[in-house]
Amino acid sequence: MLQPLMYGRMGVWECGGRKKGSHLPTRPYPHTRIIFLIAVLLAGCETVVDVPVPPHESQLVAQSFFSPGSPWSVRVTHSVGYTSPDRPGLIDDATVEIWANDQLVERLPRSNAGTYVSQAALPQADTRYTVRIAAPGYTTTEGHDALPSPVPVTHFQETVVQDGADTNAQRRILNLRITLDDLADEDNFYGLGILQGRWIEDRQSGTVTLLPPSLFGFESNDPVFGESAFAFLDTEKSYYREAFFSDDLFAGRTHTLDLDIQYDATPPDAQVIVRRVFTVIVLSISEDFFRYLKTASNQSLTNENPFAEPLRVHSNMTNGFGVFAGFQHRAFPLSVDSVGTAPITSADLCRLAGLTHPICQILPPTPGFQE
Amino acid sequence: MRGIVGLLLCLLTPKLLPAQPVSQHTLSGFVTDSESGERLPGANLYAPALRIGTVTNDFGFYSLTLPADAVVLRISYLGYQPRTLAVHLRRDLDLNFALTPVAVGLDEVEIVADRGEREVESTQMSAIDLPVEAVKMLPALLGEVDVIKAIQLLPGVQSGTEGSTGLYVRGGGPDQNLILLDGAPVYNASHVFGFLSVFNADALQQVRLIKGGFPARYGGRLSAVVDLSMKEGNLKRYEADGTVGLVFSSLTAQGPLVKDKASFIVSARRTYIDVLARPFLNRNLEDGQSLTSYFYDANAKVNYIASPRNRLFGSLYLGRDVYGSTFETVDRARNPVYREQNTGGAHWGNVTATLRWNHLFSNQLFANTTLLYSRYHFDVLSRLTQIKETTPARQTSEEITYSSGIEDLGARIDFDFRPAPAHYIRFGSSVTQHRFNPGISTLQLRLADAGGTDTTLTPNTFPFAATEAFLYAEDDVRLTSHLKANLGLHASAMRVNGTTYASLQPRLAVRYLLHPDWSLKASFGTMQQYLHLLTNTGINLPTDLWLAATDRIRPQRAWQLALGTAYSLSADYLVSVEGYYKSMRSLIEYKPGASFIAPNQDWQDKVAVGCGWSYGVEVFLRKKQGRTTGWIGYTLSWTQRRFDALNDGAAFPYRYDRRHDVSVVLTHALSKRLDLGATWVYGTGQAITLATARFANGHLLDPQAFLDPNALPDLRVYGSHGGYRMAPYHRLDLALNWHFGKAFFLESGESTLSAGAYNVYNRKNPFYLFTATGPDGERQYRQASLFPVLPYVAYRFRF
Repeated sequence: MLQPLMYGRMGVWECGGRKKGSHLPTRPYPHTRIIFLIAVLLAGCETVVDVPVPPHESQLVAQSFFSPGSPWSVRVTHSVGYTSPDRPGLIDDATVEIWANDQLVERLPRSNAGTYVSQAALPQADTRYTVRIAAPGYTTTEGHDALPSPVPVTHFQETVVQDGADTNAQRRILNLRITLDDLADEDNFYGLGILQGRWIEDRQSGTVTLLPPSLFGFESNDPVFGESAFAFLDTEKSYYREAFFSDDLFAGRTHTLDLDIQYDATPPDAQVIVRRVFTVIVLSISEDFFRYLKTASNQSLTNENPFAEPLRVHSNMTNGFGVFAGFQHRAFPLSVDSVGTAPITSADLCRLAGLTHPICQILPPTPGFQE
Repeated sequence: MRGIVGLLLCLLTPKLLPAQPVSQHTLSGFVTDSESGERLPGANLYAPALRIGTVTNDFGFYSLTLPADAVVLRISYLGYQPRTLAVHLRRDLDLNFALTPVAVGLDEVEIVADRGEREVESTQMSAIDLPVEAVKMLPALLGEVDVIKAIQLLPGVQSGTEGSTGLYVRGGGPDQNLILLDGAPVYNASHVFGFLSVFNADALQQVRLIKGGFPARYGGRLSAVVDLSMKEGNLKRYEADGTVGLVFSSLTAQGPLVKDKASFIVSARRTYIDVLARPFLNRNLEDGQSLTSYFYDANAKVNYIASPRNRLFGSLYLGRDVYGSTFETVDRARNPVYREQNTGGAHWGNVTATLRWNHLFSNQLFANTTLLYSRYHFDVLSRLTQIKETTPARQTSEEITYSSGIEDLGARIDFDFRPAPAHYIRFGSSVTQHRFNPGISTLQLRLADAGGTDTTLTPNTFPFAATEAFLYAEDDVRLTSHLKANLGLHASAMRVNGTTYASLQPRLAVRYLLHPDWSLKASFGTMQQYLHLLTNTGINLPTDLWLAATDRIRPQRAWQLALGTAYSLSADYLVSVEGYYKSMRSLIEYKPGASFIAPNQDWQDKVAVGCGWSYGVEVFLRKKQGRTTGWIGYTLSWTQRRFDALNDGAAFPYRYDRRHDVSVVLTHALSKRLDLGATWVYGTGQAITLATARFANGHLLDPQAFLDPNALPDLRVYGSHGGYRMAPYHRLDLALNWHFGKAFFLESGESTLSAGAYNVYNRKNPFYLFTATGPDGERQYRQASLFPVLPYVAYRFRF
């Protein structure tokens, strides 16, 4: 019960981004430590009481992230009462329509459970779209958004700062420099994430397993990334699992993001990563998308804190929840992996894992890759 | 010097000073305790035939100008035998009076004093004195007498969370209270995460709460002043008293260093709950786990009468809390065996020191000069060590320390000038250098294969300083036989990092006497506070940071208007009713979701600035003397906050908004040796924000979130901010005090055996709500309650 209070926020060690040379889990922060101590003092004082919660009328939830060249994809679920034992369910009998300038663009057929994908239409620039979702028993919800400007990356550079094979610490550190040429006269919002793909070999059985791609954290002291929940010393670089940021600090100017990723070159565990690949994804996102992602991320950070001020997740859906949001992307496969040379991207991993996630659909396949 | 001061006063208040008749003379001196020689603040001197009176100041000094004649003077003070004597006044006289204390707890107890001027007659509103001896008769958590918890029982004061020593006065936050110990500010007034206050009742002489109508001599906070004075030490004989409780013990010794010339008092207490609880904790802890928790504090004061006109005081307080834990896990499945040790701890405490010099310039002008030092410091340590049991063992460790605090060094001078019975003028100034340490972190990293390299990273968050100063002047002036006013002006300024803030704060209090036992009162004042407390939990934690206003985050400001009436029903009963409205601006709160953000990043980016207001009515019915004494307090209030960044910019109830708050406090002398204390409190449930619904998270950059719908926790949908009320809080505490004639191991002295219980009917009061999964997989809101019925026994002795 107490352990998550101390360790729970950093997430899984394999997501990377830990400090130099250790497998240490989350550092306990001062507040966490104090909360922990209070929790120890309170152990045994917990009582279950019947707390009447106001009834909740279930509403439709939309999650649709659209980008140029990719078909419309809308996942439709519904909200549930907070104490309900039910999972928020997928809605399979919804009517999902995309509108532009009061013209129906397409009624999306259901593709997978709860997911509606267009057959022909593709999002276009300079068009404000509306998604309208109706389902029996629910109030119709709709949201509006448009594609943001393309990702203005003008330069991408990766550098091996430390090759783990050469050091006792066995840490490999890559430095990435990404130059953005921010457009003037408009508020721009960006996202940055690194997808990792891994093949794991069990040394005892010799079996090689492909793990689904996952986010891999990075470190940076660039102030544009904003505050990190995982910074402790301001002399160190802050850790980010991913970052969503505005152009407030470089509006209309060129700015180079400077970040590091690091990982064990030779993990000491019985299981060994025989191949590891990374793809850096830079996003240009709409303001609604930015606000949704930031508030959702910040809310998750206060999961364990009963004293934290509540945070509402932004939504641009009326009479519903979720977000209908446009984005553009650039993907940069890194050329370095832990074994050597195999040029495999996370897009390939997505396909191998059979994912229908939009990010998997937009990633370019690696030329010459054979499954 | 006297001439300069007198000239200044005449220039400042030429219209207020009536021409003094030649036939008047001034009687001045000190009122003291006849047994200990300690001076009595707030003693009442009154000439009934002339209907003229005065009170002693905080150092027991009085000055009363009367017509040259034979006058009958009555000197009284709560808990002491009053004296009446005739004085033939033909010239200015220095007269000291010694009052004899009445034994408390024999057949009558008195509680909630009219120290000094009768409340009906005073211009001061919203101020209450609590005699420490009376507080000792009330039930106490774990038997530890706590004056702050007694203050929480007064109308207009909320306690915050269960068991907390936080003070939320008329809708203000705990940072808005100026807590002074012998004139030095105390920045963190709690032990054990807020469950006990740092003030040892055995070392205290006087406690005063002012929650509105602030006289001009007070400044720097918006909501309340808690002014605590330490005992001076017995000038005549040595004595000791102490308390032995279940989890605490304290011992106080005092006596003359030079009889009637110099005295000392030393008091200390410590909890030994760590020793008592160790066997139980060890039984519940797993192998490799251990916990440490204790606190201690100590007070000391010396008092030296250098001459009839000069007196020196030196006082010191220090306290410290120590808490820690160690966890060790061993993974023997690995080869080699892998061992991980997690050690952490937190230490915090206050140190205050004051040096005071009382000087009597004349029989009308008294000065007190204070040098003060105050320091609050908090440290937390976290060390994580990994050991692989190879030969030799490979050890990697990471150690983080974090410290924060605030340190004050200051000086102030206060003058009391009583040129005529109609005027009581106070003026003075203060300057304080604050040194803020808003969170210094260090890291030491020792890597197994790096040759034992230590890496210490120097932080770039450095302490910074700020200078705060103020001037004030006030006159408590009798305008007519019915109308009296306190007019004051408090001018303050603070300079920090090149930015200077200043303010002029007018203070006005008026009393109109409808009847000798019935008065109407009104007060208005503005306040400015240059310090902010950055707190992110809603409970008072030692990690809360004190910070100065900046060019981005302006000082807090407030104004408060209060109207009230006080009516003395009889010699025993007094009822007062006060209504108030308080407006506050430039308040700060963490932005939503910023709760667990790293403390070393720019705090200004993490806070939202807003405003608040509070209004309500307080009813206070007191029975002041007799076999049964006590009070009933009721508060009806509304407290709101509004921040652009919270609740979509709409106003919402403050966390400690209480619509109804009731306290009933009674002591009853069952016999000469036995008395009973009881308190019952009720408060409307705390306003909180509940999640009412949830929905599945979707994440663009995290493929696993789409692959596995359960990969990310659901997102929560909240109801209106503060729209839910936790269950009401109510609790009954009882105490039975049995007074012996002598201490059990001595032939003399006195002792008291106290037994009682906190939360007698075992009410499960809410501390906080959280969610958990029920036995059938359903999600539940659960309430954490803190204290069940807690019996206690304590033995107090004095010899």
